[in-house]
Formats: sequence, C-alpha cells, structure tokens
Amino acid sequence: MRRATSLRTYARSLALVRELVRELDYAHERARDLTLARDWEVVHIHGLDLVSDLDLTSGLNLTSDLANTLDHALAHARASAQAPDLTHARISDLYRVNASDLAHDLASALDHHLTHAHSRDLDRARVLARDFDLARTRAHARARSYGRICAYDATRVNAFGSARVLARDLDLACAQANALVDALDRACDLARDIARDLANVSALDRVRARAIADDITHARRSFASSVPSVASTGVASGTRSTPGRVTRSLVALVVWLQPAAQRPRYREEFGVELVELSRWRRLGYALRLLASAWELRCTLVEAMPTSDDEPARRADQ
Amino acid sequence: MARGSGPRMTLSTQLVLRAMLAEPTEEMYGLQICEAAELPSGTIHPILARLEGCGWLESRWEDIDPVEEGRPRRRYYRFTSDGAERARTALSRIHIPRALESRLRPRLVGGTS
Repeated sequence: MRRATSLRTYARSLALVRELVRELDYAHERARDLTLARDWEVVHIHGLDLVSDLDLTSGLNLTSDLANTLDHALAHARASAQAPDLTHARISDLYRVNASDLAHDLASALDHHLTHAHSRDLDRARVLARDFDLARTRAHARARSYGRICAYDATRVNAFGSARVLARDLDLACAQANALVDALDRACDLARDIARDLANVSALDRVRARAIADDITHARRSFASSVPSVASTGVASGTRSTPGRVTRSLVALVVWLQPAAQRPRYREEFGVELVELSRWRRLGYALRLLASAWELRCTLVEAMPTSDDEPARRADQ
Repeated sequence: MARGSGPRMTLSTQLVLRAMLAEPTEEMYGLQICEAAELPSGTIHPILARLEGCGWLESRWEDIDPVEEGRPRRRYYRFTSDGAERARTALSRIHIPRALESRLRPRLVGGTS
C-alpha cells in the first residue's frame, strides 16, 4: 500500500515537470506570435490601415494567453517544488537507499534550480506579460483614437503621429518579447536539468523519464527553430538587421499610395527587398521607391484587371 | 494598359528587358534585375508593373518556407510564353543613340537573334 502511494507521488512529480515543459513551450510560442505580429503589422500601422490595427490588437491579445500560461507554469513549478518532501516522507520507509537518493536529487533539482533561477525567470516573464497587457491597452486606445481621426480626414497628419507612437510602443513590446524568449529558453534549460535528475535518480520509472526527455527534446527543437526568427524580428534570418523606422515609414507610405488591391503584394515585395539590401542602401532604396510611387500607381491603375481577371489575381495573392 | 499593346520603351525599360533577355527563361527577382540592368534599386517596379500589364512578363511568389530558408519569399519575374519574342522585336526596332551604344549593345549579344 505504501509502495503504491509512493509510486503515485513520484508519478505526480514527473507529471508536473512534464506539464511545466509543455506550458513553457506554449508560452514561448505565444511570445513568438506576438513578435511576428509586431513585425508584420508595424508596416500596416505606418500605412494607416485600420484593418491592420485590428490585426495588431488581436496580436497583442495573445499576450493575455501568455500571462495565464505563465501563471499556470509558475503554480506547477511551485507544486513540483513541494513534491520532494512528500516523496521523501513516503518513499523512504520502503526504499531506504534509493529513496534517499531520489529525494535528495529531487530536492536538489527542484529547490536549487526551480526555486531560485526558474522562479526568477518566470516572475520576470510575468512582469513582461504585464507590460504586454499595458501595450495592448495602449494599442486599443491608439486604435480608437486613430479611427476617430480617420473619420475626420482633415487631421490625417495627427493620425500619422498616433500611428508612429503606436509603432514605438510595439518596438518596445518586441524587445520585451525577445527578453521573454531568452527567459523562457533558460527556464527550459532548467526544466531539462530537472528531468535529467529525475531520470538519473532511479530506475523506478524509466518510461516516464523517457517521455519527459521526449517532451524536452521537442521543446528544444521548437526553440531552435523559432528563436532565430524572433531575433531577426520577423524575417526569419539570423544575420539581417531590421530596417530603420524612417525607411519603414517611407516604404509604408509608398505602399499606401498604391491601389488598395495591390498593397499586400507590394508591401511584401518591398519588405523583402528592403531586408535583403545592406543597411546603408536602404534609405536610398526607400527614397527611390517614393520617387517612383506615383508612376507605379498610375501603371497599376491603368493595368487594373477587368472583373474577369479578378479571381485569378486574387488567387495569385 | 491594354494587354497586347507595347509599353513605352524608355531607356530604363530597355535596360530591364535586355537584362532579362540575357537569360530569357530564367526567373529573376527585383533586386537581381536591378543589378543586372545596372539600375538603382527601387526604380524598376513601375517598369515591371508596366511590362506585366502588357503581358510581356508574369510574376509569382517564391515557394519556400521562410523559416527554413532564413529569409522571406521573393517575388520572381519571367517572360511570358511570347513575351521574350515581343521584347526582342520591340528592342530591334529602336534606334540607339551613339552615346548609349556602349551601354546597350553588349546586352544584345545572346539576347537577340
């Protein structure tokens, strides 16, 4: 009976650690989504596109999930930290030698790693999530203000200013998201250490230990594939830098000047070229685009497809 | 712009066409065309749009996974089935001023028959 109880307790600890790894993985995905949302939507914002504001708001809404996820993860981590004592008390009678090692390793892994470093990282992540919430609130306010301003077309200049402030907020949120990803990366490393300790202490449940290792391998793979794209701010490159705000604004203006149906295509096409150019050539590129923007618009308007061509063009986009 | 009518053959348009006619079956993206035509980046999109509107060029998005490739997808341009021939014909009718011959003539090699 006591053996069954101790096994259940041990299994519960393992399950908590697995749950923690899953939550960290999920939280990381949310952070990446936010960063990607910022990178792609900031161009829309500069382009004064109301629909983009809505996209942006929904992107920032993801941070609510992040906050909840991290709260859950922290709760699980604390529960895990309490588990070793329970495990030690119930197991020690039955497995005098192995149980002692098990409890010692669990306590060491959870107390030293989780309680100190891991909790610190998760607390930091929670602060970041709060900041994201603040950014989201400001984004809502900006979107409302922007909508009002656009209703009175005469004050469009103010709308530009409003959009610029919003873009700056998002730059800040992006930096915070990157910091969050770093924090989660470290947290995942610690979770892996814990799982390694669990796997080493005993042969009691090798299957469960292997499942943990699989979860962590999956999480690490996810980190490896997504963190570089976050670091490169949305263009999936570890070496290319983000175009400057002035350059992005000029390109967004050029896109905005084009017929609405063509904007998504040129937004992406100009964005790609901007990223592929070296830093010192970008401003010139943007200025030349601006210089030829009206000519491009006239060409596109002139070549506007008939209603018969429309489905094909949409399919292409 | 009616599909089938030719574009205005400005000097930049000629340079773009000659650059693309060097490898008429190859697809090229915007910056690549700029480089081949020796035109400044950011100046060719009206030309490409005009040529596309005339039915000489067609374009498509590159089919890649941006995360795997480590870069965003590009927009590739290439001649339509009869676009290259129409471009060659149009270029052959143009009188090239002597001052521009050194810049344009070398590209005729292999680009015209």
